[in-house]
Amino acid sequence: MENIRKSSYVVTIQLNDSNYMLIHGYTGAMDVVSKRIVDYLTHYDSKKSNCMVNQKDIDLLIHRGYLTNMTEEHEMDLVMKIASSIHNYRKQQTKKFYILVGYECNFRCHYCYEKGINAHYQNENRVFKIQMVDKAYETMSLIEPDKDKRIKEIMLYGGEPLMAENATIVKYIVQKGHSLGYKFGAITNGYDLNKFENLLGPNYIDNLQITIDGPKSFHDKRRFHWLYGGSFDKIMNNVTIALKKNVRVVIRMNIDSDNSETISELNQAFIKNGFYEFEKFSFYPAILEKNLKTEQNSDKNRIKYLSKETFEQLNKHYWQPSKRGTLYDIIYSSITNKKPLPLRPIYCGAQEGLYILDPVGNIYCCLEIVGRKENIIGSYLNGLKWNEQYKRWHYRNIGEIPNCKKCSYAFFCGGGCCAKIKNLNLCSPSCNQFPKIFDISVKKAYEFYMHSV
Amino acid sequence: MNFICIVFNLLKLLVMKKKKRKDERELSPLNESLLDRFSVEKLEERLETDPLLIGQLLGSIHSGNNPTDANSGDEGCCFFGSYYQCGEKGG
Repeated sequence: MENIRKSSYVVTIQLNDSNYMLIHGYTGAMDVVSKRIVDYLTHYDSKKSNCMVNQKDIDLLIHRGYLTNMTEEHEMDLVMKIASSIHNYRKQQTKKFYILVGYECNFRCHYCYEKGINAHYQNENRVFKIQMVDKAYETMSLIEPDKDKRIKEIMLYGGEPLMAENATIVKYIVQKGHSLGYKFGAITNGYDLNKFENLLGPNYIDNLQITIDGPKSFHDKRRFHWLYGGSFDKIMNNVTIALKKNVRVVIRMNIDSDNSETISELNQAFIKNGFYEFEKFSFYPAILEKNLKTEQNSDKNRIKYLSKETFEQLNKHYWQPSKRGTLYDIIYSSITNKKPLPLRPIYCGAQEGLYILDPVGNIYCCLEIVGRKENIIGSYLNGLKWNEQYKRWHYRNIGEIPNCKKCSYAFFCGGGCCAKIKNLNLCSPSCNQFPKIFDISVKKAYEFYMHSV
Repeated sequence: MNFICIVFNLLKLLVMKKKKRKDERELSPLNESLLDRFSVEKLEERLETDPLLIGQLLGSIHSGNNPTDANSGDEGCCFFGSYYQCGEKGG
């Protein structure tokens, strides 16, 4: 026992007066323990603990990774190896493609992170041309020659991809993609969706994310057409059209303290319009956050940011145990399936297999940084070429970030969102209150688990 | 009748005793850990010889965490609630 020490990767969360949850940062173990065990572990290295713990529990603490015979350096080395192993494995898996149809948008939302980027491009380059669409599809095959590893859904992105002015080129993109075996999704404001009615359906565009920021009185002030003003009624009609065409519609509501109290009112409008009668309808609130462009965009000063903690308290009414992919869901699934917590060495697909092709022939890997030349990772205008940025993004994992590789939470947050790091310094973490959110999610997941048993 | 009552009470006592023992446990694992499958030494050894091993082990349970997750199958960016989500372009 002489060489045994407390692992550097233990997360302790208080569940109630007498119970705690121990979570191990690289073995993925989760254990409910008494206060005595927590005290024993806390004071283990100083040998000041007065708690007597039986040998069976000590053995279990060793077996689950909370006590270890590895040195700090040895543990860190292991973390780097695990991170690199998972990251390399994932890089060999599927690739996801986005087509950035055009840089123009018919809305003028003050919080948009793309604000002003269309001015960087000549008119003729702002929207895809037929020749470039053909090149884009060829490029996808070059990036991932194995067609089974190309995800069969391409996302249409912008600017605003589904503007009436883009109807002809979008039809070409979708029909050509359909002939190659792809279906489509789109991130759209939904304003001109009715102009694309013939392309909506399970074989073509069958997945939409549309943003509505509150009831009509609020939404129309924040998300308006640059020429025709308020957009709420038109979008609501278009959502009905899409749902009737059997399209999956996800409504996103961007939240700050100005509209956080209107979630229920908007939800009532959805109920009144019968959206919930369609299985493929869903709705989620998303927090408005500062990102790279915040300081450069004076309009951002108009946003009254909520803390993530407050948002998560508000949002808990919308947590559904079945909702795939949320932090809460990941923890809940690990408990119910009795599997180790999944380890994520990266934050998102931008660091492994996500490619956004723009009309100019540039390739980006993150939605939040498109259109800015310094963020280009490659080009497909004259053959496929990658640059140094590609390596920076694709080599970033928690084992490569000095602050992350010694952090107990790193394998659960993945190092955070790169787009939120000042000056895009990818050697820095983007913690963004993660420990607090993790704490809330663990408690909630455990609470649900206890109710279910 | 008395016999049935005695058996019933005995069973009840047994269940209560079992429950009490469970409540008294000071450390209750909720899930497996990677170390249930490997010792640390074995894990390191295998990572040297098969660097993709852990990825394979975790691959099936690791997908679908993230909005921009290329490996999330049928999900696209911003199609998730809560925390792994993209910013505020919002369509």
